[in-house]
Amino acid sequence: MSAHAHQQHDATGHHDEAGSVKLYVTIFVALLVLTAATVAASNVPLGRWHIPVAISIAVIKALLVLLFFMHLLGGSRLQWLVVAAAGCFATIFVSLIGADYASRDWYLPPPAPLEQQIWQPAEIPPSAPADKP
Amino acid sequence: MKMSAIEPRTDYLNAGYSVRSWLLTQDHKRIALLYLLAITCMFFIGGAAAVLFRLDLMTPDADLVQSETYNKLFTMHGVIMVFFFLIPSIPAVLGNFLLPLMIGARDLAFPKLNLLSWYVFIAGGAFTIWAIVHGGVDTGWTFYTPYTSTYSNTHVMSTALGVFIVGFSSILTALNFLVTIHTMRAPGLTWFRLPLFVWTMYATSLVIMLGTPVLSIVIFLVALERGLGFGIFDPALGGDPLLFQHLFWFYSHPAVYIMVLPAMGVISELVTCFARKRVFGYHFIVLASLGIAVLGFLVWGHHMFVSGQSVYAGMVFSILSFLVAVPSAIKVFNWTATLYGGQIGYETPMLYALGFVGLFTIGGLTGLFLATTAVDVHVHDTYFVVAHFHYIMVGGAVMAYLGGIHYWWPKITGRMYPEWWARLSALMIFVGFNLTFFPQFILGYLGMPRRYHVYPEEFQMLNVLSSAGASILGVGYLLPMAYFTWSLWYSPLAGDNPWGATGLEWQTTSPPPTENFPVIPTVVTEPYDYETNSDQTITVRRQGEFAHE
Amino acid sequence: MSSSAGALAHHFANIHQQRTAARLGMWIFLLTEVMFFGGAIATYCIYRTLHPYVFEAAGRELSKPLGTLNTVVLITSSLTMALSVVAAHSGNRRRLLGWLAATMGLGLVFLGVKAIEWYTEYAHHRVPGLNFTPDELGPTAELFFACYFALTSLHALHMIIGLAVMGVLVRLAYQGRLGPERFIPVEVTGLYWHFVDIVWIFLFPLLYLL
Repeated sequence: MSAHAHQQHDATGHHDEAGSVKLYVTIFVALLVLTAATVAASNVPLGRWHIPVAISIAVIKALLVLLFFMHLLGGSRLQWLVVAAAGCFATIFVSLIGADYASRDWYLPPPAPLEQQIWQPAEIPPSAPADKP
Repeated sequence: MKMSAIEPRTDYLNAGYSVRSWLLTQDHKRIALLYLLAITCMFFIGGAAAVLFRLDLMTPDADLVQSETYNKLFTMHGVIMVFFFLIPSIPAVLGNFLLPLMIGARDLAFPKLNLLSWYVFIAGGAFTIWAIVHGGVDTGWTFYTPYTSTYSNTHVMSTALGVFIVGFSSILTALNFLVTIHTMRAPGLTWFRLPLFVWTMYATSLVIMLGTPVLSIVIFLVALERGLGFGIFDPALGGDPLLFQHLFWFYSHPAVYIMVLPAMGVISELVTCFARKRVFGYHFIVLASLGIAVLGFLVWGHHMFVSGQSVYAGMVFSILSFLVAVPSAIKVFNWTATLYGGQIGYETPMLYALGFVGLFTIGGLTGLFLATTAVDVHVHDTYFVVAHFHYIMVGGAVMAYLGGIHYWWPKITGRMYPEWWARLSALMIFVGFNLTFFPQFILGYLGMPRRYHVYPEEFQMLNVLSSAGASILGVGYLLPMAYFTWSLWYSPLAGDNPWGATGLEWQTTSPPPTENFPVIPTVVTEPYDYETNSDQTITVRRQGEFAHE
Repeated sequence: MSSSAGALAHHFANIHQQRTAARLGMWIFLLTEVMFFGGAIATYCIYRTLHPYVFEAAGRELSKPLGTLNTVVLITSSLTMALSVVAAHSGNRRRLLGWLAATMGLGLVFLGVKAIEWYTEYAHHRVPGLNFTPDELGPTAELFFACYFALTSLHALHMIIGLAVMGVLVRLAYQGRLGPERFIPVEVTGLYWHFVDIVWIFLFPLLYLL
């Protein structure tokens, strides 16, 4: 099954040379347009939508490079698996760290009664000497 | 599949005797032996440090070494044992040697990369050894900031550089393994006919590939902070030292699975071979290996319960940590069920395997204590933690490593090891290990913190027990060195398959030829076909051996 | 001169197995690179979330035109790299050399522009550990620039490695050792180069635009 996929894959470069050049140029133009779009979007007052817009455009650009320049489209299932693993574990990594930072100030202990907020030296029992017995 | 038509005695060992033929070899078997030598040296360097601080801990006061030296000793022990022994041990030695043999390949997919990984390992080791020789490092193997980045006056940079470099070595090895397993299996060797050792190598490689780069980046950031003053984890600039801990443990917790997954693979091979029985629940063991590899990445926050981590994140990490116990327990149950009704033999590898199952269970169950947030507050950073992870790493990984070395020694060298001495050393290691580390559970529960140089007098009794155990353990480790070396010249020849084991590696000669197989075998059966294809020679050999003794 | 038999290493059963292995090897290597850059980018993103105003203000000190220019340069180099893979497949040596040279040239332009930017930041006393002088943004701006220099220098390091590998490819192609039977080196280098491009596609908005 995978050998079959690779024969197809090998063939992508061989036969349809003019076709693939055309495809690459199309993708290239799309990437340029998206670059222009993201720069333009950064100059528009979008408020809190700046980040989602910029990240979405970046993801689309990355997908274009991945699918067409790196031949993920038409690649073997194994290549999809590797990409899926990368996406999956990077997501785990970012979201679990993010979970910590996001929830750090959810719980703040209630303020202690005033008399406990004032630091007092612990009482030293008179029988215990300060250094080792 | 019979290997009858072999020209005798042309094997990978006598294929060339020059130093060059070893140092520039691309044969995975020779590279495995290069690794064996390198990590054995590292093991004894790391062990020497342990001997010194265990001696020092015999008394409550600082008698033998000064506190600074003590800090450097436990750091050196941790760094060397974790990064230069445990992580490469089974994958780089046994995995390198066996993986192509087990899947019926002539070599790993990228032989030059394999050799390169050994040189990278040596380079990383050289930096770390250099740091030790020039005064050592005192940060602990965890390199926590801001101590590492700002305050420590020791050789942090070269040690960290060594760890950074050695990470690439394990990445290269893991890359090689993954590609080899995917592309180079013999005809007929479907995924669910793979030996369990190969499956655990697969899972381990996955963990290495996903985890190690994060360690590399965090060491890089610390180096920027310490070397160039970049202040990435500096609270004065708004940085967060806890972020270092997140990144560090994202690798270093899965690193535990890098150590113990291969060990589980070895044990699966040993248990089924010496029980003369098909392994129980093959598919479940496979899925458990993959499950551990994935779940292992979800739990790192349990190292940070008492840090400033959010309590809610702590709860999530606690629950996820409990989940890892499930696949681990599946494996223990499956090994036990494999033993049930088996024709069990107590050869040395099996002694190690049985020891592993017991010690790993203790280590795993105490891990559940530590995953419980409330209990962890009590035992965090105490000897309880030290005992827990030594039960996994030494009682688990090192026992399995030694068991595996004994089991495959006839294949690696063509000669048997002396059984009586080997059983003695296995017994000494088991007894010595428990005597060393069981008292540490109690010490920790009573409240003795780890990494402390001096302690109150009431802890002395347990510390003396622990140190006494360590001395037995030390002799137990030295014995195999002696008799393995001896066996190279004086032991009887082993024959191709002394254990009557299944598995492709046993179907070629011992030691194997450079090309592994004269003809690549075609696989038609499941991996552990001990019942239908029963080989009675093992029983005969067992009887003869006991008569001899 | 390179035939299928000559390109096949001794331990592989056939050339397909060898090519599959090489491709898979590079994809898996890129998986580690994702985690490597992932760690650095995650660090940056978390600090950006913790200190949104300072990071935004400090980010505005970077030159948006130069960053955009570099993005365009790198995307173009990705195109030329893809075209060199096509040339390698079809065995057109002159075109292969041409596109590889173009890719290297664009890579060098990128590094040159990057060097200009770095020099500007040096001139403005914005290099942490070297000459950083806090202004009204306070000390946290230094954290931004620490992340900025860490990320861009790692990316530049990857570009330099890619350029070195391409130098070897040019040499091989010049000697006629790449062709329709032996195109895998070009193909895997291409994968690497496109990945480096993808990293920049994320770094550009994160550092310059947000």
